[in-house]
Amino acid sequence: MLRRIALGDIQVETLKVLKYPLFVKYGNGMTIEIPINSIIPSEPEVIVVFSFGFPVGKPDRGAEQLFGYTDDEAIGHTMDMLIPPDRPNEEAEILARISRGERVDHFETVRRHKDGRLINISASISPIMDEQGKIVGASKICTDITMSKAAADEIKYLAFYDPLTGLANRRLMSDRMEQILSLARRTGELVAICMIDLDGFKQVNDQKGHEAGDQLLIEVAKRLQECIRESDTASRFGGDEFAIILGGFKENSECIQSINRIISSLAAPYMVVNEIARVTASIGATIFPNDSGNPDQLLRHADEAMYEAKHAGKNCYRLFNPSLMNQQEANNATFKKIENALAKGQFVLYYQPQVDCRLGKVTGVEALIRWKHPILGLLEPSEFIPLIEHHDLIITIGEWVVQNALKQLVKWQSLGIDLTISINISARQLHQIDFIDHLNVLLAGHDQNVIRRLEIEVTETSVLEDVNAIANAIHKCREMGVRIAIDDFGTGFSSLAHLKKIPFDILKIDKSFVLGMLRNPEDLVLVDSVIGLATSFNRKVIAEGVESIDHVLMLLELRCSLMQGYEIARPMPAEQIPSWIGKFAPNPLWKLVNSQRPSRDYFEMLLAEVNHRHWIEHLVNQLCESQESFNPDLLIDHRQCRFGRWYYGDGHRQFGAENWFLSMEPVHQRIHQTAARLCEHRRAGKLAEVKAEEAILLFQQDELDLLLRRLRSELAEKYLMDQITKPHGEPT
Amino acid sequence: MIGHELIVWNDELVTGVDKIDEQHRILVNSINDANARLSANSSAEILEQISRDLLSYALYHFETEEELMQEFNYAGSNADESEAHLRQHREFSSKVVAVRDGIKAGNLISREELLTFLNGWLINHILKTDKRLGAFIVAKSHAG
Repeated sequence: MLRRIALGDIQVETLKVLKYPLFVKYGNGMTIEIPINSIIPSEPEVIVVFSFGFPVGKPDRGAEQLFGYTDDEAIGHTMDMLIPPDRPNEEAEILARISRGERVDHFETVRRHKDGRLINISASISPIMDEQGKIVGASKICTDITMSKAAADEIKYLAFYDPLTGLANRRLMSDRMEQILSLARRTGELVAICMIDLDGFKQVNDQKGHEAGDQLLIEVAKRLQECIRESDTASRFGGDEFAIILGGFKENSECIQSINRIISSLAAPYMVVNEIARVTASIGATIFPNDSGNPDQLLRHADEAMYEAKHAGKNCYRLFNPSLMNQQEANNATFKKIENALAKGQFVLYYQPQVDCRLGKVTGVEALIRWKHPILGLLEPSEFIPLIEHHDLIITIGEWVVQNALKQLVKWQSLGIDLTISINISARQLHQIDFIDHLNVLLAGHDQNVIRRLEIEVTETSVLEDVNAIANAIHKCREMGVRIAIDDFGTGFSSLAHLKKIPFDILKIDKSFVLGMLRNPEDLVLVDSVIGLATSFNRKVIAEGVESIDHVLMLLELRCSLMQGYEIARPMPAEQIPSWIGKFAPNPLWKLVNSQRPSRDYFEMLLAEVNHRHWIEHLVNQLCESQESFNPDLLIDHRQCRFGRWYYGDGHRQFGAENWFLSMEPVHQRIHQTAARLCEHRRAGKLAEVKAEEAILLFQQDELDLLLRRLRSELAEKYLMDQITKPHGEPT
Repeated sequence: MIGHELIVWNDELVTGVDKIDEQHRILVNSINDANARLSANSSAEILEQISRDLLSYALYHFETEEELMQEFNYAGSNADESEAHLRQHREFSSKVVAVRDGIKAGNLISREELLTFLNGWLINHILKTDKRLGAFIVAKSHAG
């Protein structure tokens, strides 16, 4: 191929090798008087000089070594033989630049050796000028960089690829992720970042050898690449840990589909070293932009989700939940706040009196923690203790409570106040192996008069977590002289066998049952049974949540005399306890229980009231669900309910002449009529009517309750008047 | 079972106070989470966790808001509004405590009731009460 190019004002056949090997080593003595001494080449560089018509110094064999052509083979031939066919214009373009007086430095390109192999060279080309400064030729310094190029490529490859599987490595993955994420930011598409860990890979490695393991990893890589699109990236992070980025989704469900495809592809059997091997994959994924962290965070989140997938039984995927993470961060901040509050002394103990209503005597107090929050005010334990119940902070706070309760006991002892203090110990603290040792340290230095006034309350559910261990701990507490109460009794599922094992002193009936017993006969039965249980085990029983005189009287009737609740006193700071005790006087109505008629009617009415609401509710549900034809008479007959039986029986005999008694009858009848209508509407599926009737029923029941309450208070007054007017000591 | 839509965070929910908005987003996520995880028959374990998260929310979030209210003297400028705002916070906490008491006693709140309560909170408190506070704080910060 012949090309003509203007070099200065001479037309030359540029691509013909004019002098070959007209190579000189500069430094070995320059023979051309042209100013190119700025270039000082060294081995293994060679200089090719293309000149036009005049001799250029001493020949050098370097070019022959480089390109393989001897002088004879080269001189007079075109340079095409050196130039690979894919770059036909390269040399001509370079010469054009040279002819404009430019230099070309370290131009990396490919040339062809005589034997056909391609060699990488780096060339620096300078113009050759005559004395007048006219460009008459070019000198080219070539360096063979084939080896260093290969080494550099190798290094580059190793820097970005996993040598075993050929997948991207972590570094390249991060780069690609940046690109894919920035694209997704523009398009608004979803990107799934997935971490994959093989389940059972170690066994393959251990049982079949490393070669099998390597083969398996290569096959996994192959399958991964088959599952993903070209624009996605699969990478191996090392060991049996892979990561993939999947982009271009519109919906979460599409991401999940892809992930499921990968899971099933990887779960198919493998053929390694002529044997069948099986592994599965656990995949953790996080989806951008729902999770909007940076690439490192996204990988970390995917990794966390991967561990969840492992935990969930392997061969499955789990999605990272960013809202869960935010929540956890918020929760951690809460721990910190509580920790600070403890350090700053923002916790105080309030004390709620416990009274024996039969004897009319204050017996003890329950210590209840309060958080004097600088912003939110006084917080009850139910607002913050649950947040730390699975955290060691609860133990620190528990020990703080023990210390302070003991201090308070010492103080009251010096004031001559004889009270027990019960404190709440969390399940976590109770289950500490060194719980007893810690308690011993806290108790050290206190005399028995103090220690025997300390009561530890443990919840029924925390006891049930490990009955034997707890029984042992409780036993040791009692040996030290500390008494044990089982708190929230009725909320767990203690069996009698359990109770027999636990050497408790006191059962505390959970307040939900006490509060519910006046409305719900089932709660009433439960309260009654717990009291019976305590009696048969010969233990004390305390009812919590006593909020009205009705609760007190009902409990007394059920033979539970120890009580705690708002009806008696709210929790108060320690300083107020002495004056509260000073002012305490038992409510005279508490004695009602010991009386005979007319006070029995009080309880009959109470029971009638408890049962009526429930009876109606129960019957309505039963009739609505029944397949049989509806008989409204069952509901309309107001004499058939428990209240009706009392009203037309005992009640009528006792109060039949009283106006207030008679005024209850129509209210009661209306309730039954409403219930019948409600039932009919429900069976007919008339939702709007059902809602309306339900509201009416509620109103009517409240009306009846109100009348009954008024009636009971009249009875109570009558009883109190009788007490005052009756001579002392006469049986009532 | 009433279908409750997932709540997508939107400009309407923004009060304009970054700290408050950030925490509201966490609540919105919790509500969505509750929506997704609760089936018609709520399990005690899930309810326990959701209600605990709500307690935590009440603690840190109300502290944030009430601290801002003090800082900007909301009560001084708008006594009734401030008082109502605090009352709503206390009611939220009491409700969550009641839900937890219920769980303990075996009376699990239904999915529908819990979601209705939380959505009601979003509509009545965040979209109204909090936005008024947000506007007040934004106006005050600009004036200052």
